Amino acid sequence: MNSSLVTTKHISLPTELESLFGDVPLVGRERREDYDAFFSAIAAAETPSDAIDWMLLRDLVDLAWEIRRERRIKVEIIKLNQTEIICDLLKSTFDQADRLGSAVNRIFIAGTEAQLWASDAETRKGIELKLEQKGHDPHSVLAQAYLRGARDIDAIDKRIALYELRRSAILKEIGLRDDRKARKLDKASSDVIEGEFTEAAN
Amino acid sequence: MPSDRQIAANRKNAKKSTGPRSDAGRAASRTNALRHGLAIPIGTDPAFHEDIENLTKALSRSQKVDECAREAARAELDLLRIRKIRGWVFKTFYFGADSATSGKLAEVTDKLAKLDRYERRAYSRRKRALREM
Repeated sequence: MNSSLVTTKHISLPTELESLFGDVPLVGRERREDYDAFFSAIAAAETPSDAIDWMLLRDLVDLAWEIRRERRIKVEIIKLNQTEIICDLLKSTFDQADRLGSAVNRIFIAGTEAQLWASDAETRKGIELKLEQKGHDPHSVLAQAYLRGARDIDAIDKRIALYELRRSAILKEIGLRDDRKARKLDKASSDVIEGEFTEAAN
Repeated sequence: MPSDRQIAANRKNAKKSTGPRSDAGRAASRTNALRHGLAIPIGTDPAFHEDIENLTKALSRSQKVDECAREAARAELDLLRIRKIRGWVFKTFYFGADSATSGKLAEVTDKLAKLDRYERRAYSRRKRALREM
């Protein structure tokens, strides 16, 4: 979890709203502790004063959380496509002199090396150097990964844009009640989304 | 714009329709509105009555519970329901799968697009209700 989300003050829902808003739809490797820290980091900017405030805050947090989820999936898709492209390139640039393998070996070794490219920094450097010598630099691999996943990436980008629009609409609602509060929450939610995205991209 | 004659013909033809005739067709159409339950107004589902009343009381600014607060509560609970279903879609079709493939992601995208229609309406209903309060 990114250090930008660490907050000393844990903010929880009022008891009367806990049963209504307490259930959080987490997916994959998302953890409740992270969601609670995320919630507290945004809520700490301006503690809600009534039930309407809490309701709007919950929406704001959930949208920020979903933006973060979509961005992580996008990073995952790009990485997956990069690995596939590395695998294809390793197969097509396989040096017969290096290995005495058959076509089956060639496929097997390329797959294993591509997985190592994705998980091991040292192996990654070696593979990238080898591919670069054959005219495939990391930028072209990344560009091909984007192209291969273009349809999925586009769908995710559209959803992120939609959630951002809704986040703005909620901030507008909060702003109608208290403009200063809306500005503080806007900054806090943007900070945690960007903080998380930087973490996901690394 | 259809003419009066066309409208009358459409109505007459519609009366001839008896819907699905086979047992399988009737069974399938019986559950059309229950696939995710979002087509049914939340207020008609007894499972949500208590939550609607509790949230309405919390949202009401005075002792007197008003209808706008109730509508805001219904819309908010719809939004929470939609978010849960969205989570379920990701869990089932993306994270539940062995590996992310384009086909699986296309399925997620398709299902999420269908949910969006309900979410947009719920947001509008809640916004209207909050402004009238």
